[in-house]
Amino acid sequence: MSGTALTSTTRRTLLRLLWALLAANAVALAGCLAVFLGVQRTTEAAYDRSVPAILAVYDTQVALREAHGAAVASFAAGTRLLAGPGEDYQNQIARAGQHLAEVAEDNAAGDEGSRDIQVVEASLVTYTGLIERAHARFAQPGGGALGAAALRDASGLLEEILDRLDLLRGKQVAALDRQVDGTWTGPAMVLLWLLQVLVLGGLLVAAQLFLRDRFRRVLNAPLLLATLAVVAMGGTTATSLRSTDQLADARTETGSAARARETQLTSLVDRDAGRLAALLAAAYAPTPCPDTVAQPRPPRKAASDDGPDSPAGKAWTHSQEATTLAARGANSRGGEIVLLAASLLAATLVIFGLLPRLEEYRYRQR
Amino acid sequence: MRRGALALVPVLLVGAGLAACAHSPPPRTLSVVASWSTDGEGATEEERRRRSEAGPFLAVLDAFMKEHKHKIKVNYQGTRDVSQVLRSGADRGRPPDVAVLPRLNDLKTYVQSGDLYPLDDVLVPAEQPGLARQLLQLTPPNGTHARVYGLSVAVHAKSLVWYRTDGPAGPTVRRSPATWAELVALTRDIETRGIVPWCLGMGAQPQSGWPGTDWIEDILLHRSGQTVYQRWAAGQQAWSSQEVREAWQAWGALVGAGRPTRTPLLTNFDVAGRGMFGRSPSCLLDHQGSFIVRTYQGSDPDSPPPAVGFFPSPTFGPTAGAPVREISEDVVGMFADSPEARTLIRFLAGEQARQVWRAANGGLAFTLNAQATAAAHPAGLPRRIAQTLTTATLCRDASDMMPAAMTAAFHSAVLQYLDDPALLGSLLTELDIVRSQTREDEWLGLPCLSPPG
Repeated sequence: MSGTALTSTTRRTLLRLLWALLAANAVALAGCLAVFLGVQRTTEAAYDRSVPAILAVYDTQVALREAHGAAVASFAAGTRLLAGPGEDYQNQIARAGQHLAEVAEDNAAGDEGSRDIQVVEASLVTYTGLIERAHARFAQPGGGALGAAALRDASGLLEEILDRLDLLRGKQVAALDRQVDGTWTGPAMVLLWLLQVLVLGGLLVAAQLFLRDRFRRVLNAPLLLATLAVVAMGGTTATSLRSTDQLADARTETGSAARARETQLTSLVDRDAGRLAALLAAAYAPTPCPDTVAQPRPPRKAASDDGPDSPAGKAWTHSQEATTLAARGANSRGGEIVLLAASLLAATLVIFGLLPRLEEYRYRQR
Repeated sequence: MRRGALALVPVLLVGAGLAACAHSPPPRTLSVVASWSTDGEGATEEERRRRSEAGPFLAVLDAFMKEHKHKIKVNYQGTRDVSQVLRSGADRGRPPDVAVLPRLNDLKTYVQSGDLYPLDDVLVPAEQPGLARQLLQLTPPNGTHARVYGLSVAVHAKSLVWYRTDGPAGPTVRRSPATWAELVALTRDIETRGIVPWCLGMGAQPQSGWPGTDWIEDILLHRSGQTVYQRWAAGQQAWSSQEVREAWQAWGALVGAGRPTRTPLLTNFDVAGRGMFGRSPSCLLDHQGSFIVRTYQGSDPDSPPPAVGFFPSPTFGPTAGAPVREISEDVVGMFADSPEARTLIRFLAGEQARQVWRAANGGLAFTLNAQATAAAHPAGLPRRIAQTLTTATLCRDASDMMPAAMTAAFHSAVLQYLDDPALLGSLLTELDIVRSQTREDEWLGLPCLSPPG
């Protein structure tokens, strides 16, 4: 009687172990896959949308500042009849349009971002119209004052456009922040998959110990291999931590690119303010109004546009680095396949490891 | 131990499920576009928002969201170029849900294009006494009767001349000029003292010139009367007609058009008036709308009212009946029909919205609602402005009612005339050419409003 009772308990325990291991394996696979894919989707969204959108907003701002500077320089150069706002202005406006199209394509800020882009696009139409009007008036004999008035309107509108782009960029940065600090990249998710893998690993160790006690086997090879497969699952999921780190690094690099772009933009403002003020002051002649127009400042030397140490160079370097890091983070390296294969292997090995022992007890029962 | 480990599995599953379901459905977001900038001064974001030009309207939107327990969210976008933004949005089939139009003619444009939705069943005058005066009715294309398409949410008195009451030599004006001749005399008197009489600034983004168009409109209205003014605003009166020409000439003579200084062309309208407030003022009179007080105030609605007074634009001769004033309006239109957009527009038509607006703007928010009384405004400047609006016949800004091409040409002509008044003949001829090139159905001829009651 006691022998039958012992046999029955062992078989029941073996069956429970088998089902528990298979269930824990399924749960661990679901958890690991969910976290892995969640992180993957997040980093991909950052790589595809928010990071390029932030950088493209800055590129748009720089192109617009460059365009306005080129127009002011051209009007101030005294070749108004022939050159108008100039070739460089046309090129930079075209470039700004392209960058704005990139922002629209990559926009990570949803409908609010789209609305901002719409406002910027509409305002750009008015801006280019004002520059054309300034050109037409400057080209008229004695049209300096009217040309300067139109140019000043364009300058005012440009500032509004740049402010709107600041807002838009803030929304893209907020989207990136949500991605970096979001649910999938948070510690709770790490805890979720890690606990599940540990539970499965613990169950496998418990099964080994049970088999050693009951069947006097040092090691059950299939269960040992299953444990290695579970370690592979954990390792693969752990790469999402690396992706998370790379995403955070991409954000840091984007921030560095942003600071370099800010310096570049400030430098462009300083370069062009003197020219614009001189143009307006000339239009005020002979009675300048000190209350309402900025006094001409000696134009500062703008930060050089070339060279790796220039703000533009630094911005480019940091932009490239941010894009590279985001790309690395977004690369899954087939991790989802590894997870599925390792889990399937672990389940098969568990069955192979426990089935012979169950067969033994089925025979004894008979 | 093993049982405990096994028990963790469902716990983890439940935890994962809860994490996935933690988000509640987002509120419906309405996009609202208006011309008021959100760029204010202040140390904190909240302060900058409150002190911005859009601050009072944002306070109204906040009150709306609060009343609806934030189940409706409003995304406000302030841009100077509302017309262009609307055009772009309508062309792409993605206009804002609601827009506040500073140019009345935009209503006509979007009623004709079918982008604007009627508000007859949203705003019912029978349910809200006093509302009818705020409603703008237009006949849709192929329609047989006029329908409500706009709600006037803010009105600005424009026929006003501002002066300082605490200047170094006392108030600039001791007795308000009752006639144009007295205004000219006051101007010449100031000139003889070696001071520039008028604080002139034509600058206004995105297009300079409208402060000058206000002058021409005001002079024509007071010099030639409502009938001529309305015919001209509706495109039925030639620019080169004697009445219009003399209005330009009267303005040019008063402000000294063509003087060597080009300062007015390059000075913003909201900067020009600051010349009154220096220790030795650079100018003494400012022809501006009631909204300019906030600029004098330094953008902080909580700061004390500036020491300024105003007098209405004088008539050119004896008149009978109520005085006539020029006004401009901000009109709400619905570009995407939804229950939320209707709810917002109903809210904007209500007394609560008016109260919030008034309080957030230091009492300097005015309405066309027939039930609104001057007594609702704080004593002093706000109440006096309200009285000018409730006791006069109000004629809408003509350039706001003209087609966009005509308005742009008018703005441009004002700048060119100020720069060189000898061009007047050519400018008026060209303005008539522009007028002849616009279709009759592009013009929006709205009548003047009689005083309530």
